[in-house]
Amino acid sequence: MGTTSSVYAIAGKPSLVTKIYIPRKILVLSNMLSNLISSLLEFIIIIPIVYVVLGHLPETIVLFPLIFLIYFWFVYGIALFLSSVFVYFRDLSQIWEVLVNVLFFLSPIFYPMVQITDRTRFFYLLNPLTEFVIMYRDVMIYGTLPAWYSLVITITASIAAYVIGSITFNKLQRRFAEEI
Amino acid sequence: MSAITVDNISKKFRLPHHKKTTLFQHALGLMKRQMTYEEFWALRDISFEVEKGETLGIIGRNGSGKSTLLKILAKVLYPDSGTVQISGKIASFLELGVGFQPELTAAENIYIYASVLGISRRETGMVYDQILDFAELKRFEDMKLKNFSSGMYTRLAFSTAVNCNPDIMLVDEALAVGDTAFQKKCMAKIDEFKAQGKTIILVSHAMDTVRKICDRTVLLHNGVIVSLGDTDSVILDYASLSGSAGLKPEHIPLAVDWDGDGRQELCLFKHGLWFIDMDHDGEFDPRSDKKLGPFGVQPGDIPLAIDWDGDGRQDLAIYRQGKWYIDINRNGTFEPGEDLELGPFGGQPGDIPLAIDWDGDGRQEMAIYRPGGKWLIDLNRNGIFDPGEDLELGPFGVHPGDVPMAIGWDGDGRQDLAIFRKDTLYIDTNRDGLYREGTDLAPLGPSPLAEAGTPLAIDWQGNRRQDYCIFLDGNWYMDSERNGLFLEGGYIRFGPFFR
Repeated sequence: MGTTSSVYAIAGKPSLVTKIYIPRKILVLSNMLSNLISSLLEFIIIIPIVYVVLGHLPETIVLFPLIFLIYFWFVYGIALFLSSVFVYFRDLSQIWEVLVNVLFFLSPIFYPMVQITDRTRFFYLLNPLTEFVIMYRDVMIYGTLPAWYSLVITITASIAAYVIGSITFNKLQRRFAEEI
Repeated sequence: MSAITVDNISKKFRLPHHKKTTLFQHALGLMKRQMTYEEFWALRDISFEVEKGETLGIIGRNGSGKSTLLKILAKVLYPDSGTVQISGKIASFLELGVGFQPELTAAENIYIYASVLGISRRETGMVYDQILDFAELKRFEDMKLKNFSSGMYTRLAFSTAVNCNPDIMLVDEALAVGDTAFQKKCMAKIDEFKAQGKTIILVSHAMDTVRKICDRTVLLHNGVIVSLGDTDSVILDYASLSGSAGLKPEHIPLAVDWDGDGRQELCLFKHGLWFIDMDHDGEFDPRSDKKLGPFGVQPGDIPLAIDWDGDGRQDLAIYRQGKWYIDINRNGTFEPGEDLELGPFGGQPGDIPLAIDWDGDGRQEMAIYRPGGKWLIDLNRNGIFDPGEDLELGPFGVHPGDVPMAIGWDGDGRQDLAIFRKDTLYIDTNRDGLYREGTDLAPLGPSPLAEAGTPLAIDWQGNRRQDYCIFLDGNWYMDSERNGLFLEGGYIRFGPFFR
């Protein structure tokens, strides 16, 4: 997750905030882009592994960039929120690290969704990461198209994250230079 | 067209009692419900405009709000109220070399710093060689920045910044860069900027630099503008604020026919400097008007305009402790030997000097109004009062706070005596040194405006009659009705003298 390092995107560059005017979202975006590059490299490693294991590459893998784009905007929205709030609450980084761990184990990454009982399934689906994991699996391993509702949920979640993140960021950024 | 319009901005800082930076501390604070911070106004109701091509200095003591103001202009801080409008590309040098990466080479850092300043890669490429040449670092182009000396580092940063061709530059004491030769180059670059019509805002403690390059200057004190206008006079205001000159920022208005065209010009005497409104528009503009001095100021000095030699032009003079110092060579400063020193006239405490053409021969004589109401006019023009030879008139009638005046009211070529008392001007038109209602001109006034201001007599129109004028809050009010009432429509207003 790129969000952990994005927490420091603003507070970690004091001179670019207090000494000069640049649109501050650029700092978050640049942090996101460098995370994007490293995670793209990770995905590139997966592709030959998938080929070796499956013996072929599913055609649906061409949908991967689309899902990745939705995922990127989702993370960007969260990063905007976290980086601006962190300027005021410096223990957010520790809190967030714990939360990310919790979310990680609460998403079906080490285990498939079929192992989830019907009773807890609903709560799993509340986690937007679940849908992303399911979609990635669909296109990269199973070779099936992602479900429509998964797309709708993730796109909605991305837009919501971006809007909330932007509003928070715009509101809080007015006093960045004073707080850092 | 103004480059920067600052309209009534205020900025408030929070001074927390205990700095809370964690969620935990905030939660505790919420439970205790204590007042967590004090408010502190760093700036209050700041308004000014900067014209295109103008250089504005911002001076003030530490903590007066200079840097806060500059940061607001640079959009780093946001004002709590008020607006700032800026037209043009702005480059702020609050600190040089923001965004420099020590692990990268000089060449790469030029591109990075330029992009931080808002310059595209292509534009930077066009001035790239210029930047390295100006910084004198062509040989070190591919060297990593971490191996640069601090001088090289700042030179590179400054050179990148100035060669990026901004319309408006905000500079915070960044000019003390490099050795003398490089500083000279920087000053030359700044002059070049000024010649190109670029706008510069400079925050500095170096008064020499401010005096050299700033057209106008703002003096901030405790977050408010104390003084705004001509650089020299604002610097003197600053000096008096710091207590180093021991002077109050006083303005003394004068009327002086400096050029001898028969019209008297408005003039303000401030901290030993004379500001003469040569173009008769009621405002002081350093480009078209005249600034003279410094005369050398001592507390209690009284400035005068006097046509001593009768050449039709009035000269500047200072009355200092009973003596007259007349600037005969007309350069605004007093040089013993070249200029005229007369007196002492008598020099009793409370004496007020006047220049008056009593006999109408075209030359003005020196005179003294002595508390108690007596007029002593030096008719034999030796600077000393000789009973018998010189004229003693009055008493005019005593009243504390009376201001004496010589005024050519009736236009017969001779100036008459007058007294300004509280809010009314009394002119002794029958020239007996006494004021009697009925035989002298009816009193001019009363007027609340006159009570608040400083009176003077001025032949503004050049018709050989002097009119009554009131100087108040930097504005000049000419009594066009000639009744001393200064009612709405009964005066012509000029000013403010300093924009």
